[in-house]
Amino acid sequence: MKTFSPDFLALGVIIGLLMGIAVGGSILPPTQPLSTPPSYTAPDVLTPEEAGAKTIDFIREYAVPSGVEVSLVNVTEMENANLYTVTIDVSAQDASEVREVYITKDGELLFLGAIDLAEFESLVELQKEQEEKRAQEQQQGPTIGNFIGSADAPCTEDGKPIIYFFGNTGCSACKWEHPIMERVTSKFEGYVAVHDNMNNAGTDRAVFNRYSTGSIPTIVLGCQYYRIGAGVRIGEEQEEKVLTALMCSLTGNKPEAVCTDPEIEALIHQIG
Amino acid sequence: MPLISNKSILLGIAVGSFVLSPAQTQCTLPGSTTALTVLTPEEAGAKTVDFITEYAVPPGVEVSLINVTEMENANLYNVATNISMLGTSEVREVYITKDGELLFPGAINIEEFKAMAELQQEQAETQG
Repeated sequence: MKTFSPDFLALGVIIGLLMGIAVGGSILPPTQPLSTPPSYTAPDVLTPEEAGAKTIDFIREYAVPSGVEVSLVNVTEMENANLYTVTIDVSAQDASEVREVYITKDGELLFLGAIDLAEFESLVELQKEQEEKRAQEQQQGPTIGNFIGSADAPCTEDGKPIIYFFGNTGCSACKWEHPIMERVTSKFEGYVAVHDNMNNAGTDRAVFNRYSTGSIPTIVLGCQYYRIGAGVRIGEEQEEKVLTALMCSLTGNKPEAVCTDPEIEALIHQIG
Repeated sequence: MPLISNKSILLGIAVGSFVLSPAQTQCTLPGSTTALTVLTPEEAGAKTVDFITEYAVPPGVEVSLINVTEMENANLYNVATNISMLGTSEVREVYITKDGELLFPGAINIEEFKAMAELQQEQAETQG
């Protein structure tokens, strides 16, 4: 299984930037002209535009490998420090991520990341709570297909149970599982709401954080059953039946044509 | 190279799992018309060391405060820490806003970095 946590992805970008800087070897384009606002007594102050350009130039030259594109989103002034917040978009292949970096207004120092201490602490607290919850649920033992039963309230969209899939194409287990999910959910068209988060870490982040340890694939069925990992061990055919049975249990055994299959009914009876 | 060591701080933070107990008080900036939360240098240093110890380094790694200075060009505190384990130690500088809200794990001096990169390139060309 491959790590997929959005938080880790965010850190990965910062680490990537730092590593890129360490091995960077090109020369930065000439520095931008400086301006001095009349009300500011410091020797040199960059305008937001200059600060953004300087940041982007530096990151392009030193912090990212070739093939990674960096573009400026915007530049804002920080209220609680004499810094510019430079929002950038870092993209490569199909993936892109918006990141914030910081630069002193004189353009001397660049900060590649900041940690909001209070936010971080509350996130850690939440993760601890969720880990404890998962541990309790796992103690009760898995149901069919190694899915774990959740005590959470059912999650629905327009009255239909939501089926979440989290994965990406760089993960072989995800690639194995994804077409099975597509096949099964297609049988429940009109009965379930599908949130296919293949290659999309930003969507449904809270759900991912609740049910996953950070690994993919993660499947969440109506917030009643979840599993981290693919069903490779039981095989494609059985995995399809397990997913079908679990979805039948969420939809009240609808559609009947799908859920009254004897093999599926047998599996439904095994669900704890 | 100090920049590389930032990775360990960030990775450590990602796997940290305890709660910080910050020692923080409020005071009003001299001459300011609005009350802002501003940490003293001592409070900022303690908060930084607490955070790094709790979240950013594995057990057995000791973090101690060397000093806290004010950065003139950024309105930040520069917190110098000593990180030590098994007889080896390293001085690390991190930065924190004066209200104690944001921590910057590391800074890059752009001009210094460019000069260093140029030097490395020249050396590589000479050797090549």
